[in-house]
Amino acid sequence: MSTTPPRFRPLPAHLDGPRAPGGARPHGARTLDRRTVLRGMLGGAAATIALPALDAMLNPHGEAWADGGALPDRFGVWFWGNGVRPDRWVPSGTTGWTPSDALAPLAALVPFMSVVSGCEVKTATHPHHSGMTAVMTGQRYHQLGTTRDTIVTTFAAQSVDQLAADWMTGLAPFRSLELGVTRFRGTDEGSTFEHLSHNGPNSPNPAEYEPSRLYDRLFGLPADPQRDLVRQSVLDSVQGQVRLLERRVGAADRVRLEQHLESVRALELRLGASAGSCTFSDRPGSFPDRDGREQITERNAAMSELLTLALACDLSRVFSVLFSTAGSGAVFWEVGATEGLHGTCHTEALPQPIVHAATTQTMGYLAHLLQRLADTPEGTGSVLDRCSILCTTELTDGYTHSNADFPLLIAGKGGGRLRGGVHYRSPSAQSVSDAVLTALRGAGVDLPSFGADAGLSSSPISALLT
Amino acid sequence: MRAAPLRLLLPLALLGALAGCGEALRGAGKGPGGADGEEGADGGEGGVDGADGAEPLAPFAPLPATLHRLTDAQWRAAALDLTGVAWTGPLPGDYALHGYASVGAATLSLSPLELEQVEAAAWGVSEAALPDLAAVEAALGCAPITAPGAAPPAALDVGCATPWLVARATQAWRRPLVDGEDDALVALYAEVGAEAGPLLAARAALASLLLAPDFLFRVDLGQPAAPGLRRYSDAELASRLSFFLTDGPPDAALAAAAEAGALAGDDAALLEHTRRLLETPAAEAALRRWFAQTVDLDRVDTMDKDPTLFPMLDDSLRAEMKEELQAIFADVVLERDADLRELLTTERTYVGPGLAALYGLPAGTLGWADLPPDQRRGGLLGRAGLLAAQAAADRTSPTHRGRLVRTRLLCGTVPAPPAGVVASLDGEAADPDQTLRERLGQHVDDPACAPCHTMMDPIGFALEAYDPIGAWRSLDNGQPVDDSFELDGVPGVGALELGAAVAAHPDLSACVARNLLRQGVGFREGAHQEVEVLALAADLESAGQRLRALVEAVVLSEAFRTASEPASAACTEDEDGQSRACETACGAGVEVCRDLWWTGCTAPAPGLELCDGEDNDCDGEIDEELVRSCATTRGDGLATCAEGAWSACAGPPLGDEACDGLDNDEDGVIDDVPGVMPLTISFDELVLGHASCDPWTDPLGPACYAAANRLCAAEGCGLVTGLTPAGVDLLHERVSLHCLGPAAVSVVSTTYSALATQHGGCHGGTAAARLGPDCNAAMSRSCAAWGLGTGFGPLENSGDVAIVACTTGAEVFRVPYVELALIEPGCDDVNGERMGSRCNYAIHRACIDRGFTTGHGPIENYMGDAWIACIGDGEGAL
Repeated sequence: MSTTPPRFRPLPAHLDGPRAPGGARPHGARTLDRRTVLRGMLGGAAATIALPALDAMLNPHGEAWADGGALPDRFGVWFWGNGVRPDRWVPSGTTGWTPSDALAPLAALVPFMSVVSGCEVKTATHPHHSGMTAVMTGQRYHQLGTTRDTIVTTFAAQSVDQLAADWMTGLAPFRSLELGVTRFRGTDEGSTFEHLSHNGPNSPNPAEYEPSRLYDRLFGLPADPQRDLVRQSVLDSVQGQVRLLERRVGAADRVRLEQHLESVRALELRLGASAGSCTFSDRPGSFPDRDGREQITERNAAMSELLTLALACDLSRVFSVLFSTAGSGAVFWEVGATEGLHGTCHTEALPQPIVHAATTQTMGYLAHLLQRLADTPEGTGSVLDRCSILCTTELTDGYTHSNADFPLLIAGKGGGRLRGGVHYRSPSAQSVSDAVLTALRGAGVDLPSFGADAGLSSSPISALLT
Repeated sequence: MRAAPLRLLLPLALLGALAGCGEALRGAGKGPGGADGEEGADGGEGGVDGADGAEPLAPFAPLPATLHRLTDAQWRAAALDLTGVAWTGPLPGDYALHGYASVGAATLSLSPLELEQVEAAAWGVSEAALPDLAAVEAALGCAPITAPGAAPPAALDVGCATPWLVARATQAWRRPLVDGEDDALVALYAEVGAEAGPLLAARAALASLLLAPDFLFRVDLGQPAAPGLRRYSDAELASRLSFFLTDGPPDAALAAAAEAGALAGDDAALLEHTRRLLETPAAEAALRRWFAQTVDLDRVDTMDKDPTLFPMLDDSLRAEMKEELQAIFADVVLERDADLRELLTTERTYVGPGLAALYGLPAGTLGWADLPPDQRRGGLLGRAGLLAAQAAADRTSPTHRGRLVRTRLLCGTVPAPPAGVVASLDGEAADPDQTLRERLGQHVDDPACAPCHTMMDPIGFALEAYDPIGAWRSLDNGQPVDDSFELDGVPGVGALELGAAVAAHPDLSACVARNLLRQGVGFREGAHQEVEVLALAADLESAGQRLRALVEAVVLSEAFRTASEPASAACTEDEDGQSRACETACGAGVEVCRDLWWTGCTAPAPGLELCDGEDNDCDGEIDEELVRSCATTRGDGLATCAEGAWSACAGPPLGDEACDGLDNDEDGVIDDVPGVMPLTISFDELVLGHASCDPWTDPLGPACYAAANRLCAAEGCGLVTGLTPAGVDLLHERVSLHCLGPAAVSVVSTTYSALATQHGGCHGGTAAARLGPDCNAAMSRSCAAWGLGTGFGPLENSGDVAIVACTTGAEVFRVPYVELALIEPGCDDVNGERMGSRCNYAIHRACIDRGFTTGHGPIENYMGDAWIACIGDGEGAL
């Protein structure tokens, strides 16, 4: 078993000198042999199990790496669609809150979680679109025109996870990770519903829904310095081409091409990194529908496992999980639903027992991920201790389409920045942006404000912060 | 856009005559811009009689020129066209916007994940296209490495690859290369090739073409034709036409027409190519995709159905549902080019076993058949695919089914529900025995729901006789089904009559035209294209509602062939017609919001910085960072710009003369290489000199020695032969050797018979004898006898003939083996050997110690001493 620290390590300098004259050739049997040796040196055996940070590599206080580097701060978003049953959501108590029915699956995690209630969306104009963009961007959606059956929108600005990714850029090989669990069933209403993470208008970061593909992306390919050098050369040439093209297009297209360059740079960052020591043995399978039913539990478990490993290995500092989309039609067969949740929200008679059961089930899926993070040691605590995870949805109540008393959770201890175990009930119907800004601050993202216009917040909820 | 929903709220529009509703809905695509807005607001009175002329449309203006990202299908087709490789791996997903992936593609960039996917695909295609060196050579049509023997990087014959690179780039980017692009591409090839050989170099070059923005995007930006107007060039039009019709790049005939300039200005040629392309399988596939998007057919793949209610719904039934609709579309539109309204009325079906059972057809019915007569099916709307996709998991949905008709087939606009709307159907007086239709009555009774739902539900009621997967039923919730409907004043019963009502609806033609135009131009049409939509609808009607005629009309339309200036940003409908300040680096101006884009900024646009003493790109610096390539006798150089003038060409620094066609030492003579020229050769190239040379195991053996000699001779510049490699770098897998030119060596043909007269031990009988010390001495003595100094060899053998190299300028030293053994243990006349790789190296070093470049020997041995010949640069010791 390798004792290489499972951390992002730049390539050794001798492999990093791009295209030195007289460099080695990649073919010929001898070359392969040597490469195999290099791979062994860099990455350990392919079957190595990913390990959390070993005590031996930490400083005596267990708070930082022995070489003086700080343990990672992480920011995440976990999103589910269609809101909650508000009458069975809000917990009782303040410090050390007592879970409501819907929050019962999270009971064991109370010390690591805070609940925010009583806030509302200040920019609401559409039942579903508004809340989605409010929690992710702190402002109204950008409308692309009224067409056919409903509105078509995209995010007006970068989403909160990408704000954090900008803040933490370069600290880990993957700028951010986007994961999906239940599939998208919506219509062409723009990118607002289909995608959680956005770089800007019409510039979504699509989620990976297939655990096997996520595995391949994170752990699948061993570092190959020789090939990576050539890939780097190709990417260099692409950047030159994009810059030339930028001169010919309009400002709107220049924005698109700038994103293109950003994406190239994100890939370049990865080329210099080796994730070899974090390989783990079992590549997850795929989870096709079984007997016409989506395997939600299985896919959620596989995705949670991969995300936990990726974070423990410090492959990324920022993630977003789109458990289900805004207005999702995911069918919660396991709690007795026979149609998509969005339809049930519309048609089930009060008090909507199936909607409530689906909400509770969803909190169980969230609890699964959080428990995995809490069970994965890091330093003197756990990976969850060093996360700040905003968990929320796009509206309060799928039945009334209300945006008041919005469901918001903040999980993790933010490396000591977040108290945890607090239920904060806003006395003044604060903006949801206050809670989002709090989650950012919890991850050490010290932006002065979040959102714009009516959704602007520069006041995090101090009761949640240490 | 503001006007239409307002008008729909009027009871008259909801319940009124057909003409009134039709007019209201036709207005859906219009956006009031500037003065039009006011006219639209009070246009209700004028619109009732349906006389379109009463309400002036905004004058036509083209949509902004923009980049269109290739869709999934387009990327695969373009990669196949370029490389012959059909990529089946993952690619970024399409983004359907306003109904079509082609519209989404005009807004998309590439996220980091998507760029990773595209990069993996580019390398995957490139590796599949060029699996080995033989494939590279076949692609290039010449040997990728120069005549064996050149040193890297010259070993890579870049000249051989250049035509291939340029041709592939021109094809991949669908345009001629501009200045410098070919150089950059060749430079990438040369750079990677020098490091990693021609195979990886060719793959890298191909991957770079596939990753280039000019491949990933359709860069059809038009050529300025008038203020605010751009016209697509021949090449751009060919690209637009081909991607519209076939979802792929132009074929050879179309590309040739574009190159000949016979497209943009020639309607007949454009039509001819349109008709030709429409006959291709690719065009059929593209139109099928358009149809599938129009009726949201792929939803059949992902729709959820309660498996306890519908256990028969498996993957094959889903596939049959889709295929039935595609078969009908292919038959009516693609095969027969019939009146497309037949799609809405045909009573033919195309079934597999699952669908036949679902429709209650006799067992064994397969393929084309007549629908059962008693189910009121007929047309697209009575087919399981659409009925199931627009229903919930365990119940039907008149709302969703009606919405499909209203929005996809008639292009009506249904406003979004307001925030905070209570969406439940179950009021306090919910009756458990009600049919769904009766429960939905609430939608019409509730004033919060009625404005939208009356546009959908009354249509969808026609399809209540089909259950959530499209099977016939006569009861709903135990009550008889009522499948009567009303479409904008036209009543009827069941799917077949609904299809007929849609076919007769006045909005149908414009909606088909609108949908096809979106596909064709990759934009949602705005107010200034409405006039074009209506003209296309008229063309469709006058052509007997044949889709091919509409395709031709779209291709010939101004909307397809022109563009406005590129947009600066997206704007909203609320801002339509407004102006705002804009600025470029060169100054301030004003732009307007038109068709959802801020366009036409009047500020001067920054240009390319030129070497003219002006700040063309308005960045505050004049002639900054301008360099251009130029040539000197010493090789390629760079000139820089200062104060509007180019500097003298600065070439490479003075260096030792090399055999490269340049005057490296600037002595006025090209390639006057010295008598001894060092050369470093990689193992891979060394093996090209002699098939038996295996430098990984025996880099200094006779076979590699012969290889080195031949590579030196092949170098040209009068170089004749080489000496045994003087050094081996196992880490980098290369050898350093010395080539000898005419100033240092004379090659003499002699015979072993003659050599034997100099030393009796030298004869041609065995290889060992020819390479042994006796022959060394014999050759050295022969050279001396010929007045040519000393010598070595044999370079080659043929029967009794031996080729000997006489080193005329060599200086001979007597060196004790003790000294040589100190340099390289093993070169030792007592315990080791006097010939071979160890002594070669020791002699080489011993000559360097004496101020020479290298040397050979031993040419004689006597009393524990070796006689070695040291060679300088052709002029004796340095």
